Amino acid sequence: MKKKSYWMGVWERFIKNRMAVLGIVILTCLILCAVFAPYIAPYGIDDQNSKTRFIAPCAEFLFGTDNFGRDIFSRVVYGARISLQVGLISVAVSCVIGGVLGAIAAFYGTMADNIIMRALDVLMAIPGMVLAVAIAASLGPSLNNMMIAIGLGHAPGFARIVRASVLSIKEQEYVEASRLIGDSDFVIIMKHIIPNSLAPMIVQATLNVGRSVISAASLSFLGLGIQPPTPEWGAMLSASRAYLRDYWWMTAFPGLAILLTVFSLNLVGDGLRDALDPKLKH
Amino acid sequence: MAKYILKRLLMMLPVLLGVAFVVFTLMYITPGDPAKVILGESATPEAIAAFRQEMGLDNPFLVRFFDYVKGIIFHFDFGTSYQTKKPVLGEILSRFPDTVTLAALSALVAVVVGVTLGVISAVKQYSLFDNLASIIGLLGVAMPNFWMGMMLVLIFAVYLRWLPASGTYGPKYWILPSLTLGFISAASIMRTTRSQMLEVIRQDYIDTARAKGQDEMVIILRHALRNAMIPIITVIGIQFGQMLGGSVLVETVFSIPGVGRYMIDAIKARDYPVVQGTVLFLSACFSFVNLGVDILYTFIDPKMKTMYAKKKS
Amino acid sequence: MSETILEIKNLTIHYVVDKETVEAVNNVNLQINKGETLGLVGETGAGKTTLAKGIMGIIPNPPGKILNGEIIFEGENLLKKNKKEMQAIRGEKISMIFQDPMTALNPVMTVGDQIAEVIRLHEHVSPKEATDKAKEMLEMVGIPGQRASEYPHQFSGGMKQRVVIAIALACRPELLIADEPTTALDVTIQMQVLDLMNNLKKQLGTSMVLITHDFGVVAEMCEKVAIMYAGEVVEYGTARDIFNHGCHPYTRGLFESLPSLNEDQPRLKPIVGLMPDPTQLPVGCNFAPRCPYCTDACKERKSDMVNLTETHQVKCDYAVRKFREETDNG
Repeated sequence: MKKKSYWMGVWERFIKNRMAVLGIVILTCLILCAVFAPYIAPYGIDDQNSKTRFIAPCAEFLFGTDNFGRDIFSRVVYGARISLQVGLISVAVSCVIGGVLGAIAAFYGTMADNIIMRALDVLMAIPGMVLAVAIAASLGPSLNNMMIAIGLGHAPGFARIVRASVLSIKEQEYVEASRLIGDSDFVIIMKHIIPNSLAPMIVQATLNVGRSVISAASLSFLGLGIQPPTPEWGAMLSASRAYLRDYWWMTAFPGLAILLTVFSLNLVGDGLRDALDPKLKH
Repeated sequence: MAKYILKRLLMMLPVLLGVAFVVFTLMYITPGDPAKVILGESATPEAIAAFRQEMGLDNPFLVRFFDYVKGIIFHFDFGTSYQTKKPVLGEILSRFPDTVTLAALSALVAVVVGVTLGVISAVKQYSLFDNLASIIGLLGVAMPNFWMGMMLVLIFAVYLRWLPASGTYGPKYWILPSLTLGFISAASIMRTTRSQMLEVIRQDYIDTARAKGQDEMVIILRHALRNAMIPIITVIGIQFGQMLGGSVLVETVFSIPGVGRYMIDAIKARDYPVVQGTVLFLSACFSFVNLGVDILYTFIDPKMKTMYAKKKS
Repeated sequence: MSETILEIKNLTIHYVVDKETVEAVNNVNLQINKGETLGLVGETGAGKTTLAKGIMGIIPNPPGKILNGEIIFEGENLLKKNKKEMQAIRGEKISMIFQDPMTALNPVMTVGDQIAEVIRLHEHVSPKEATDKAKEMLEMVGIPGQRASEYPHQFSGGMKQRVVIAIALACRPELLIADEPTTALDVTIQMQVLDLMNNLKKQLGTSMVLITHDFGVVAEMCEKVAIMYAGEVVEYGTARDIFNHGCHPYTRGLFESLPSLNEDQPRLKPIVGLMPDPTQLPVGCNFAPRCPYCTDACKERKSDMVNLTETHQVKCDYAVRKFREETDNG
């Protein structure tokens, strides 16, 4: 009963925040685009046609066509599938790896903590994008490898957040009280640690989906991610570079799609943060 | 203080050793034989064997790693490029000035724009300016930097013809790249500055300063900003890491022959010693910046200052 | 006849937050003579701090707004002054001590610099002279001068409050507003700080508004007392008036909720209920919902402030009747 009212409160605060609602609306549209891409896109992703090359945006081709005569709008719509998938899965990877490492470090003594934290120090010492590039280069360019590269690259951040929040929760008096009445580690973890460290995790995860989408586009742009003709937004931008001077639409629309996706994810993340921790709000 | 810096430098060594191990492992597990890549598919088995021998590619993993580290420590030798057969360090250093210029100019843009807009937004909370800045900030952190670079080229180089699109032939050439790389970090710094300033402005000591009859402008700059600066500097340090990583992309977009682009080219050419060297080098730069940030703390945060003063005595 | 230094007339201050109006201070009238200390007593949220900030002219706007009234200081209405004129008065003629010394000092400035700042603002002195004066001020509040180069976190709570007092008194102000200066301190330190303030006040001839909810402090320090409830002054008089003849039911309630060593009380008598929501004050008397003597009339209209004696005023019809009965009989 008490729990329900907590999440109701969170929801009420979230829905009151106009920007967060805007974010959730945009995000819902993007998800619908991704799910119903075959019904929304008027053309296929690789319908090459030498007669329709480089057509500027018009009624027939909303976002224009590219150097192979493919409809950019259709490719952008299908691209939402890939970007959202990459975003979600790579965040899941970093959540699991980072969460487990962080929790172990915080919960099981100095030895584990030291080893894990020093290892994370090493990973954190490599600028994020450079690490992702190095991992992607090592694994070779493919969708799965890219998700692993991005997930691994973001895992240290998660580990730190989880470790910090578990450490602080561990010191709280209600955990002490729980220990005094004889609750086991498992009960304490399930009853106190996880519910209370959930909020920072959710916020971090939401914001990281956006970051992962950008990282994915960046890797593909560098040729280290998804390869053409898959309609990944970053790969489309990479291909458009050669035509930037003459055919602006090839560059503008895939980028706007990234912008809109990350923008909406950030709005939702910020809204969640404010809703979960009303104290932080001014 | 000197003792602290020395200690921090010593602490950096194991971290960088760890970084070297990570990149070395990554390059080791990369599929494909570099000898074949360098010599071409048509190379004879004898030539490949000779090449592998020469580059030490046949030794066990740990032996190769220790040779690598030994070379770095005793001879400052980061290996030899497969492609040019020249020392990697020299190649990196010759490209370093471009990357430093880009990073420094971008950091300047990021800090000046970010802190200024953040302070104004906080002081004029909920004003039109604040709302506009907030939206620009939100868009800024949502933009991939390479796309922003391309759009800037489109607007300022292709249509308006005000600025050059690529290359490094003079001061004008740096404007678009540093705006690109700086703007996105500026957005982050602005958001932090705003929220920190809002937090600090509500503190009692701001009222104390007002009660002294101090001018509002001086209160904002001397009392509020200096306190807000401590967390802002943390974000600036993080953003510098982002900029080093982002330079890889921005150097590609603007055809700047810096370390980042060198790394990408080396990956495509499977020139592993160069990849290892560049990753290690950029990480070392990042570590030095973080050290600089930590030293800066001791000047701004008196708690740190008195801590070291006590340690000395 | 002593000279009036501060007179507040019909002061009304509201905050507007999210379309709700908080009536923080309503129609307050007060008067302080030179050298006097006025005790402003009331519960948390009664509007004491808002009133103090109103006098200082540091109500944040928005959300705060002074709707009505005059604050006459040395014959001039402070509300008519512009920003620059107010800056010249703040710190020089009127200064303020804040409630929590832990947060009232800037953590990144040395205490010496923080004292010197106010001196340099109002006196034409070189930085060196300001620093020397700051050290003198520290000595005056009982802190060795060489500690001027230390930072607030190196001081204890009581020491910090001494520094705050040094800042407030550095320019020898005519009027000092002290907002619960001892609430955040250990009981053992409270008396020391109060003594210090009392001594300095006498030494410098400063008048003082002392905000507190502690009658012990009032008895120690104040010549006059104003009792505030929900943004209004409900009773006002000399300390003697209030302590011996305090007659507003709220004043009575405050006294009855104090433990007494002389009488044998089995239990303290708290005032039942809570202060009304300041965004929805009742139509009638603000205290009516908690008042044991509340009548229907009380719920419909507010009583006027009535002069009981030359110095004693109260805002409650019941209290007026009661007071007259008692004085007639006695």
